[in-house]
Amino acid sequence: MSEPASVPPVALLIEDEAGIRRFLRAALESQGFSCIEAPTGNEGIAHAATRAPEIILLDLGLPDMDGLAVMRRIREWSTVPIIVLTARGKEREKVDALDGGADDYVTKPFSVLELLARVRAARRHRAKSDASEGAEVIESGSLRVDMGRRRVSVHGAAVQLTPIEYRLLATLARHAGRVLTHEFLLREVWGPFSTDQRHYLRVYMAQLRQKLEADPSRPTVLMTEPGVGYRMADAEPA
Amino acid sequence: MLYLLGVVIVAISFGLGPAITAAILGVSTFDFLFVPPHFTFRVSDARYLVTFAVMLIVAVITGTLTARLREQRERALIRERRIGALYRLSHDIALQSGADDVLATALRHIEDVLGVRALASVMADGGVVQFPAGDPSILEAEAENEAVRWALRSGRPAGLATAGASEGRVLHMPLVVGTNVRAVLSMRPREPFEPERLELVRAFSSLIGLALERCHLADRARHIQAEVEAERARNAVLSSVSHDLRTPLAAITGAATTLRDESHEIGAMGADTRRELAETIAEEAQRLNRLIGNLLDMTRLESGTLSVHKEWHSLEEVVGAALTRLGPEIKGRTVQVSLTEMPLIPMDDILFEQVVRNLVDNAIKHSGNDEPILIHGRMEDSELRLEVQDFGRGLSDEEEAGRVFDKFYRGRGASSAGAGLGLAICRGIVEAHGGTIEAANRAGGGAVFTVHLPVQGNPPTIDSEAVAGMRDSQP
Repeated sequence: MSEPASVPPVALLIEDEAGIRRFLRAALESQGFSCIEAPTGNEGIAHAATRAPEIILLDLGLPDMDGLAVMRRIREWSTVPIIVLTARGKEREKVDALDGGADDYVTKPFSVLELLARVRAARRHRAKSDASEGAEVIESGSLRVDMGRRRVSVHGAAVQLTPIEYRLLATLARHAGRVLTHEFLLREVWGPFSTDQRHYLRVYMAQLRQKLEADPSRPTVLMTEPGVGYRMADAEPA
Repeated sequence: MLYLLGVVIVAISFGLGPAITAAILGVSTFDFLFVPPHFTFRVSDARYLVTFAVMLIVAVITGTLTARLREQRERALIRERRIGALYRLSHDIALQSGADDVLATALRHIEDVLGVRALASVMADGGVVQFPAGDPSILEAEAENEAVRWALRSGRPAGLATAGASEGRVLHMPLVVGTNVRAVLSMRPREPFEPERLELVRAFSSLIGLALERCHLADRARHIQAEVEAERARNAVLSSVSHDLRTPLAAITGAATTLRDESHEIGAMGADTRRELAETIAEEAQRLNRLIGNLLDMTRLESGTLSVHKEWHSLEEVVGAALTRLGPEIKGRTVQVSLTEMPLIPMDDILFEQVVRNLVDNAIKHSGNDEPILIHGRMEDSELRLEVQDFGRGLSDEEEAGRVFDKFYRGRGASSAGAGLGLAICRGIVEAHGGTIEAANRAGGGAVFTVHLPVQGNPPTIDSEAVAGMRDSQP
């Protein structure tokens, strides 16, 4: 995923706090990004339209307009990866943002490592969805999912999964590193009429962990985001 | 002589009037029987008239004196009864601690001693009249209600045999201490009060008034004491919180300014030192973040704005999320989880994750680095029992087992570890779920915290074939 050094990818920071913008800029520039800062929602929308950013970090608590509204405006014309910055305890807001088109979120205060992992996962996913979703092999820890041949193995040993278990795992694997909301997973795996049956997810996630995790109560691959959804741990070293 | 004895006896038994009648009757009989001419009231010898007069005067004087003696004895008796009644009343109401109890006891005495139906009224806040004791039916007439109000406001007696309102058949006696009307006693006698009983009513009233005043002052003293203690607790909390906030801030400021100022003398500091300072900033900021989170949670719990969204959850998943979130703190510690045959359980996953996290965090803080932590869950009698055990020092005694869930309570040797909110939040969340939490010592040393969570209803079942088929038919 290395970019040509002459054209650094552009990251747009829509965030009103100067202190946060400063450290985001430092972190992203260290990763080879060139940063544009927008302290308000309106400036953010304008920059998103004119500067063609490759990733947008969007704070949901902006002074001039609702962060979710900013996201909806940008989504009207752009599929650029958007990561929202939210506060603790606002799970509803996170779910709304994710269902409304955000690629991922980080909760303030967050570490730079965490943020960069999210940025990588979001960009990778965008790059992938542009290409064909063909025969792909996804690895996370000791888990290996061969999407082409529908084979799953842990430490090289094949694991038998039921059709639903496989579909759930494959959905998580396709979006490895990204959080997927309950609703999204239910729709993908069980169809559009089961989106309120969250206990399906809990039962099948428990079964998957039994089969795939060394210690199901301390998962390292199939992570829970309480109140939001699930995430398959990133294959890349964080 | 016999004649005089008769008069004295009559005076003692029946009083002055009958004694005088007896004297006249005696003289007449003497005249009729013994003075010639016999059997007539005529007197032949004028000397007998003198005798009659002397006899009569002696008899009247003796009779008067004797009758007065009798009266005095009766009055003494009444006084004694009154003093006895007052003594018993004051003894009984002295045993009562609340104003309402004093009034109830006093009314019982008044009803017994005076033979009346009685009611106590007090003026509550906002001018509402309340009846803490007695029989409100004696105020059946609206006029009586008015009289009670008047007595409560004016502090003067009203009703029966008083100047205030002459019409009613009920006496309303205000209990006045200084300028305060503490209450009004309303009494409905079977017949109008004579002065004696009115006296007794007054004596009772002042006694009860004093007892009420004592209760009032004791109440005030208690109230002030409670306020002083609340103020002291508030100050303790404030100084503890500000200390907890400032300590990490001081570390962050110190480390950050050291890093900033070091740039002027390039290379004076090794890479390791710089890294250590950055580490300090990150750790202390985390600590600050946790503390503020805890304070906010505590505030939400106490203000009752916390809402519990129960869904059917896998406990294993919730425990897993908690252990993941604890990440750095739990590094290098052995945590054994055993959740046998656990069905889905109705809970708020976000809140319950916090309960598990705080309990494990607490176990980490109060046990050694090489000591394991056990998380053990099972279903028992349609409730979830979740235990978090450590092998540390344990609780010092029963009292500490109760106090660990108090906010801002810190265990021994944990002064720098936290603000003493984690377990208080646990209790708040568990109770908001309708459950209970308790702390005890483990048999082999260390502490065990047990959450009891009632599980109502049956977990939803999943017909996996049907669900699977639904989607498989559309590849």
